[in-house]
Amino acid sequence: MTRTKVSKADKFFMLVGMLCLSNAQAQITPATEEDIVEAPGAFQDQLRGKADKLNVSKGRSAQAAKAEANAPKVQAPKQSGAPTDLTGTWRGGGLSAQGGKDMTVQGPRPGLRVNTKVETSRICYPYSGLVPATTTIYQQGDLITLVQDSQLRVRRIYLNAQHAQPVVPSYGGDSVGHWEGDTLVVDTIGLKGPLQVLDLDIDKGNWNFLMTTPTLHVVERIKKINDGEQLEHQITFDDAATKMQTYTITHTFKYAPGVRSNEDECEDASEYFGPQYPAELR
Amino acid sequence: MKINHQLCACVAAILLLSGCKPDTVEQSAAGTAVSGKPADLSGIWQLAKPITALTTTDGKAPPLLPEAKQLYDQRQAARAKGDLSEDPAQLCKPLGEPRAFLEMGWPFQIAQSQDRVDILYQWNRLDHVIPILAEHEPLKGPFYFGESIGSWQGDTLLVDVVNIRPESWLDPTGLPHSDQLHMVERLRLTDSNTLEVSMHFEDPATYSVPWDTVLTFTRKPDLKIAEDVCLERIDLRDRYWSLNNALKK
Repeated sequence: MTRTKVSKADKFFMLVGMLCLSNAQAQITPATEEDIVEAPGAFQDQLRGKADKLNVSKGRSAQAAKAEANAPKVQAPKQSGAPTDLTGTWRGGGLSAQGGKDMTVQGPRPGLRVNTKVETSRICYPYSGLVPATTTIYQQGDLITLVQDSQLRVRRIYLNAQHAQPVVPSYGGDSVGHWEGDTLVVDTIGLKGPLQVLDLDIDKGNWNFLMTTPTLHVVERIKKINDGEQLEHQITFDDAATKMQTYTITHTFKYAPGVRSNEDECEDASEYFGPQYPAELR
Repeated sequence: MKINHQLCACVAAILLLSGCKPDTVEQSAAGTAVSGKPADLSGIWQLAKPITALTTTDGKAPPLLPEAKQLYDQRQAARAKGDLSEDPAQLCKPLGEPRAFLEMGWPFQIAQSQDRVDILYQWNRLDHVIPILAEHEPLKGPFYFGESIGSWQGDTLLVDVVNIRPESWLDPTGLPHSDQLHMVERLRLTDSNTLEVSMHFEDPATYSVPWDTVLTFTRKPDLKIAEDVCLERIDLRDRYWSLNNALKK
């Protein structure tokens, strides 16, 4: 039986450009041979051959912004006034050049791994979706679905439910929630992989990763503010086993009906930055 | 005073009929003409029975042109030998539709709001975004799921898809298409637990005539969509095969 040749290494690190966040403006460094430690054979030639073409200063953020600008304009309905209806598309403002304007932090910063260049432990593996990328929220009965078009992040929050026993670790985690008045409270455990944490360092071009542990615990409080035109998303991390002190980041989103991100084609390495990537750089 | 009964009858009829207006076509907030109220397609769905190879609605093989048939036969021969190297799914590339509906018989979730519908697949967390729009916009593509617009025709979601990347396969057997493919999907509930997806294909570069197929899905209210990371799955599979081969030596 013929099979695709694969590498033997436990992990492979590829530095080929920016992660798929619609508004991020981090710098990208080109992929080098030593960065491409291991990769499935099917990708290696593509990455080596295209590596020199992936050195783009603005990367996907520019493309994503262009995609949003080119996206069909929809005369979408106003956000409903119901306090417990979060349905709609919300654009995160915390990654803008405004820096701390749309986000605040509380508590001592945990031992985040700070990166001044994009480091992907596993390229195209989904980082946990606790970042203020453009998010579309759907509510149906006891299921709240958060869809971030970029990097195919989908989170499902099961209301008035218990965590699975046992919890199978996943990039999205195991999330259960309930309403406290007009605030959606979400409790998440079972996260795996490096957890991308976008806090105040993002305006310095740094990407921070919180390495998840089996005991990492995240509580989110999400509610509408400013007459339903904004969403406030407060994320609190704690980890009893590592004695990490509680660290809270609060992002705000703006209601942005009709906005959608580019189709995510991360696995298509030769066109990593999406279909609107300049042809001469493909 | 003499009453003209015939005149009264005519006047009464006119007054009566003036209250009977034909159904007006309402404009949705998205500016798309709709007739009646949209159905609620949201929920978890799974193929009623596994399908690997698409057939037309009358059970025949799709009408491939000779050159396309040659390509299809090559893909079939490779699959028969266990050679999956040309299958884009093995590189975890987005499947597009209808292949995503079929792949491994895995479920998907439909989530909908007034201005948008998302078909959220378990397979690598793929997302087919369908904005409710009247017209296609000139987005630069092509895209694996194409550029889609949706509209409600009564209780049916009509999805018009163009600008589709030709590298994708229409089904897991390798059914080809070109960049000229124009798909029209119709999604409707035949009962509260059955979703019917009718698909119409027009691709003069690949098929001799347009053709149709129908897929049926069953609602799975107790099923949870699992997180699938294709690269991780393929990596684990290949490690297993490598280990298995090493142990055999």
